[in-house]
Amino acid sequence: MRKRGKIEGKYYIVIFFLVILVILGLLIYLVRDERRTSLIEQVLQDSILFVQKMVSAPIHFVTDKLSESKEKNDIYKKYKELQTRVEQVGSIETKNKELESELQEMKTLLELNQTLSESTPISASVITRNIDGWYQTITIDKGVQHGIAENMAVVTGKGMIGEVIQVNNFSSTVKLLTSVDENHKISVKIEGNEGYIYGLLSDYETGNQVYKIEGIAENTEIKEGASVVTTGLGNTYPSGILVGTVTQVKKDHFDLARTILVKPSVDFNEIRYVTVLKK
Amino acid sequence: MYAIIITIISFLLEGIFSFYISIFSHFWLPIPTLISVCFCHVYFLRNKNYIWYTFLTGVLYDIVYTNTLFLHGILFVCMGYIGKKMSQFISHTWYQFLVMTILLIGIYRLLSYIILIIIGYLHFNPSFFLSITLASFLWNITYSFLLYVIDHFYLKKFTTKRLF
Repeated sequence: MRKRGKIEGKYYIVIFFLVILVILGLLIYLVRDERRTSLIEQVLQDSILFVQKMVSAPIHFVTDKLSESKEKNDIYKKYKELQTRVEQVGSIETKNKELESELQEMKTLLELNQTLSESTPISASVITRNIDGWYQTITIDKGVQHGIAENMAVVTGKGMIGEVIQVNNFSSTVKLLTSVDENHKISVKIEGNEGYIYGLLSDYETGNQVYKIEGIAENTEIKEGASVVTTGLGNTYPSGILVGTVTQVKKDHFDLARTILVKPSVDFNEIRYVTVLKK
Repeated sequence: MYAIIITIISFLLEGIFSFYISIFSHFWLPIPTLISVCFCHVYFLRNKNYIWYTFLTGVLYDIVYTNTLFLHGILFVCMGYIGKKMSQFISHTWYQFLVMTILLIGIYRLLSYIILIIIGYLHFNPSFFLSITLASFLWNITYSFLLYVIDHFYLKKFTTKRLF
């Protein structure tokens, strides 16, 4: 009897590890970004987010009013700034025409899939963010019913913030650029002295809150403060969306290439309203 | 019922607070839903009901907040079980309760980090793990203390009232 009990104990250990393996395998399948959400998930998420929106509406109303009154104090200053810009409109229009013809040439040369001007913007507001630490996502209040689909680029007035990874009927989940890693590199170009320098956004340093672009050739000259924009290569991000500005150019560990640190143009703590670029 | 009310409030708080706390905060990373789940075992008489409650809360958490279906379903069941076992070994004084909260947050962070690395969602980065874990303590300890105070006040009146 004793021996039999011992054998059963061994089986339990094997079964336990098998169960763990099955659970891990299941989780690997379920946490993929490409996974399509089931109808039950969509309905549940939409309904809970609706309640969430209702509950947080009065709080947002009060905070919005407070920030509005703060902004009102600066309104005269902003008006003066706008007046100066209006005077510059004429020259900007001429420059625009020139740029448009250049853009057409570039598109033919680079075989770009799409540019910013070809996207239809859809405005959305953020219902919730995940601040648990690991998951850099936000949920917006527009979904399939509003024309949103997976892999669409999401921007704010200040620049690029991420892409849509999951769509429900009335809400969508956006993966932020802060979750960029070795497996999800984003093609960008940096303003250099002799035209643009192409690179890949490969990491986000949470401590310094900067993106990292690695593998830039040693002989290229990049100044601090240079703009970093998307290239339009790949299927998600249209060309020309601001990602950030260069804050530091340093040599890599092997002294062979340069690593560029880029300060995001968007304050990820202040994302309340976004624009989804419909392809 | 009390457990459900606490969980619903915590669940909604999680979403509301997310707007007002820095996305990479070094001090405040609220996880009120987890705290409420670990705390609410005292309101369940039957283990089975408590396990279902932790599992369903975790799955809802996944659907609404993390997009990692069943991960928190499993994690919340583990944390609920660990929380329940821990509370059997400590007296329910406030300071021991706070020590239990610190341990639970640490275990939760470690478990979730290990699983997320194994399944390839995150890359191994010990300093990131440490900063997230340390940032989780302050807010959540305060929240659990608040729950403890409310519960202490509540249980004095209804010590025999267990709803499940």
